[in-house]
Amino acid sequence: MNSPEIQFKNVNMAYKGKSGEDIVALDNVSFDIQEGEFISLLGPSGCGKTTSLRIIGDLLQPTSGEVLVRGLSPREIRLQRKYGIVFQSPVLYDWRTVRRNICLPMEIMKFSKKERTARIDKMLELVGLQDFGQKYPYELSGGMQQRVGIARALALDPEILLMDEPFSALDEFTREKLNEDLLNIWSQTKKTVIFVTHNIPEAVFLSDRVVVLSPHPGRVSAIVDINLPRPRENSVRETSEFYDYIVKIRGSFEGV
Amino acid sequence: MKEKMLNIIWPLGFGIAILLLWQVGFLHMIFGLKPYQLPVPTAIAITLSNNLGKALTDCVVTISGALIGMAFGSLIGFMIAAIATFFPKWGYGGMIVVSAFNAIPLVALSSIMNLWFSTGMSQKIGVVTVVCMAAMSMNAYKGLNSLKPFSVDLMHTVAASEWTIFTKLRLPNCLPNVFTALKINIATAIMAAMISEYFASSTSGLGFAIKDSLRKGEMAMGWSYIVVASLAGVILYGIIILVERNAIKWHASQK
Amino acid sequence: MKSVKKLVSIVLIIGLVTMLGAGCSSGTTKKESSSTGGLQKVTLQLKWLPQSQFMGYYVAKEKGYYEAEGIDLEILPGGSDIIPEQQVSNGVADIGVTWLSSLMKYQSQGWDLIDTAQIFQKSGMLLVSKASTGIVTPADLRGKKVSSWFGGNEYEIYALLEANGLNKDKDLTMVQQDYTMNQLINNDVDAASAMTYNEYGLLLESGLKESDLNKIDMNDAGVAMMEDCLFVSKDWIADNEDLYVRFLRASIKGWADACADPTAAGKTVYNVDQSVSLDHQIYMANEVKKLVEPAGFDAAKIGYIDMNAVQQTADLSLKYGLLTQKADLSTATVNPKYWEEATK
Repeated sequence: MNSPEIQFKNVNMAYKGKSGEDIVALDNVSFDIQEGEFISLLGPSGCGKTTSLRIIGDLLQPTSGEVLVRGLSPREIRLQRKYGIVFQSPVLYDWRTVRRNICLPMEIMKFSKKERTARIDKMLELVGLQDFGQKYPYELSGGMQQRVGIARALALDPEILLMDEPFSALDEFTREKLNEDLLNIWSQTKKTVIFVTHNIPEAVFLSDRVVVLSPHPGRVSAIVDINLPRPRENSVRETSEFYDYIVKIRGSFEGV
Repeated sequence: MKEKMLNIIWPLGFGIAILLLWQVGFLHMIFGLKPYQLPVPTAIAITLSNNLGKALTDCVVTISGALIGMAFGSLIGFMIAAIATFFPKWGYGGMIVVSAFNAIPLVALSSIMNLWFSTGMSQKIGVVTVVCMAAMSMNAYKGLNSLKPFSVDLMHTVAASEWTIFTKLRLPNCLPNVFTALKINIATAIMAAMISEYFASSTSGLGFAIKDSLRKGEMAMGWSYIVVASLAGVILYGIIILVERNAIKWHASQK
Repeated sequence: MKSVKKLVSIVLIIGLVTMLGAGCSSGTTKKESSSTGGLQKVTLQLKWLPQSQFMGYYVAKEKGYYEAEGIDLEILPGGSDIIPEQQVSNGVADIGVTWLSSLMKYQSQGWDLIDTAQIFQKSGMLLVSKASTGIVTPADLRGKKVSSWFGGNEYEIYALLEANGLNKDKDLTMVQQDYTMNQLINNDVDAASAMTYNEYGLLLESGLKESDLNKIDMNDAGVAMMEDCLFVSKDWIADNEDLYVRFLRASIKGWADACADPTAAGKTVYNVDQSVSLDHQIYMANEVKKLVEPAGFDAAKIGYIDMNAVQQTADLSLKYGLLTQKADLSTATVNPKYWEEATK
């Protein structure tokens, strides 16, 4: 077996709360992520799943412990522009059209004009927004905006895709639709995806493995391999295996 | 379309009704005024048309001073906001100083500037510059720094420089606030320019004309200058709104 | 719709501020002269700050001349934006002190105000310049920067210029003067307006000598307009004729005492208001005496209205643009009968 793409080793994260008390967000958390793996960080709020993701993305520095991405620090990987990121909210820039929002990271990374246009066209098709390229964000529904956010991250063809509860603000129907779409897109690229969610069916449906975190302090309570066959369609949600995984993961929460 | 028409007709009708009541002496009756204390609209209009050349010259003097001062003041205010954004620790001190400037009474400021500058125009520009700084720096600072959650993270993820974050995120993000500040400043600038003329060592400008006419009891003349000042203010405000509409179509305020 | 509202409010704001700034807002409550403790209350609006220019009223008040006439006099100081004509017309004050030329301007526009006594018999207006500027005669003003307080104080200067063939708009620059003499001292202007009794004294006090200064006197130049006079509104005098005659009697007595001993009068004024030095108040008292009782003037006639001088003021006002039509010099505008009654 190759060495893991991302190593999260004995990471601690503590900070002062509003009234000066110590809050332990991550308590000695360790896990590995393999190249090309779709992994979910799952848990209730306060379990440190977003914190872990932000540490990998170099948007936060851990108090102690070691994080290696391809043997380098998250900072080095970030400066090499290997990451794509999707947030809880679409984070579109209001003054840019859909096309120019998707274009933004490529602009900063100085892609050629031709390359940018080609990738934008491809991404719009991928997320099904071909007719909305010239619209401004306010003209789009929440689901469409989130798809633009995903398109913006994917357009870079990033080696590691960080997704921080990207569908949490959406209704159940849209979420399931986008889950399926996301798997389709991922199956074409097979990049490493780290997906943060508090939704158990979503984690089971998407992932190769689920890292279950428990809160206060944030700890790894289980790591569950999901051996459902791929490609997966929404119908897989109706199988007993799917149901068994949900029960198993639910049982792994310690007193939550 | 019909609603749009009504939106124009109602305020217009209201305005005309007020003018009519004013003309026929109803306002004088309510407030117990004599016509020489509050001249009627036709008297003001006749005075204005007889004196149009001088009124327009005075208007150009005041408005050009107001606009130049507003440009300087807004630019300085914006620079201070930008510096406070890049260097929060000591830049914010500049913001506090600027807002303290804003608390200086116009009257005092005009007199101070009168000592510093020897011509009416430079004094006026000085006064307007100072009073326009605060609104711009406060608003621009807010626009440069109240960013949507994660929008800076997005930049960091693609290793964008602080300068790129400034030009591609902060700058466009603060445009609506800049227009808010410009709308505040245009009214402030015209007012400050006129009040500075009360004290200026010069005899041109709407402020001096208004003061001088009213002191001499030339009420119709004074009011005709007030009309010119108001019209100039409304027109300039309208121009800013038009520019704003085109510049920030994407913003919630323009929907 | 939102923007329309904003437009309306900006109009209102500009309008209001200018109105307030110019002090043309008018309280319209008419004040009847009420009696307190057997004394009738009367308010006098000065044209300017409390100073020896108005020493007669302060002396009369201090010596109890008003009380003796059954009057409780309140003296309201003036200021740059306090206009006596408007104060009296609004009923804020009963009686006002102003310059006759300014009063005529108001009368010509329909304000029902009556000139009743002429305290200053001569003009105190000078145009002062530094000797180094070389301005000796009015003709030397060509191409120079000349300042005035405006607001009605500029007409003697205009008359002086035009009488000497100078166009005020083209042949020189007129600028607004503040209430110090700094513009002249700092050479920001070449010639500045100065009252003999006030600003000229300020220049001397600033260390300049008489020999450093050239002055053009409006009386010598033949363009003098009458200054400090007493006026009332038509409505008020109709109900208070007797009261007003008593006020005049006490005031004239006060002026006579003040002119007899300007040093004491200066001290009296200084005790009321210390905004300028005692020396300056006494200097002013001595200079004001020269205007109230010019050489050869009968001290018993203080306040006398010289109709020839009034006529000259009216003529100059018409000729040099202060008035647009000939002044109506009837008893509706100039009425000496109260003064005649008071000096009987």
